[in-house]
Amino acid sequence: MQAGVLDRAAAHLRLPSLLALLAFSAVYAIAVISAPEDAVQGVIQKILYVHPACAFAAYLGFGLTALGGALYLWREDEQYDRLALASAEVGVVFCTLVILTGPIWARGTWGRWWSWDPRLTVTLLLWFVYLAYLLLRSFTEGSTRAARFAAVYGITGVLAIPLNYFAIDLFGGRAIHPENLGRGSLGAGMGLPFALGMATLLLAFLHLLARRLELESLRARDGFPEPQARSGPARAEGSWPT
Amino acid sequence: MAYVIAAYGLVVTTLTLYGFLLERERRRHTSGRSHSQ
Repeated sequence: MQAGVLDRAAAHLRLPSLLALLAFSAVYAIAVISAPEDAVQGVIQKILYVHPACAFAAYLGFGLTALGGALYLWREDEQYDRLALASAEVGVVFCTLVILTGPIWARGTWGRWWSWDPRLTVTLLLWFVYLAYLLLRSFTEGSTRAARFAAVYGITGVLAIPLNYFAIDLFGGRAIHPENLGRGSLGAGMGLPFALGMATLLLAFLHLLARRLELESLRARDGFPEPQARSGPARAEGSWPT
Repeated sequence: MAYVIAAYGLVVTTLTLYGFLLERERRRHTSGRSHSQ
């Protein structure tokens, strides 16, 4: 296996991305603590500074899964397949956080943990779509045919993102989830912690993606070595499962 | 306030734990390779 440009970048940026993430996290924490309380919701509104940021990180992960899949089908370069797999896993981690932090806010605001609201339901669907992707990849590790199928699946699955984002507009009055943030929808002093939340969670996403990509590269190198690098007892030609 | 602490605690704990597991797995692979050489 040859290390691609993505693998080399992931390995070189390990320490700088960690330091940047720690610095941003410290500033972000101060901004959230010192942000004013919302007049209607009270202190629970501060969950807003982390919940949508996790959602955008999940969207980015699933978007990169589709992009990696498309590049893999086009260029047949394994590094893009590794990018697709790594992005899907990190995306699922962030999507899990969306599904967990949302109900915490809902319990404090709506008085219940869950509602079968269109946005919540489609988010759960999105989570299942990419969980299925990860299961498919784990059962078919190392298979080129499965990687091609997963690429098509990842490209198709990304269609759930606009459905998720515009669910509130599409389903109109049936949605109880707050509307997507627009210009001027945040109160005074709330823009900075929100922007810092987006930047910090994006950095966390990129840092974890680089780590996951590096690990996938190591697994590919150790698990599927070049023919001349194979060691141990030789197997008869043609005895490998096809 | 308990809900806010729970939400942020969950995010920080999950991401830190995930990062730690990735790093542990990476070290396992790199140390395994250096031992085999």
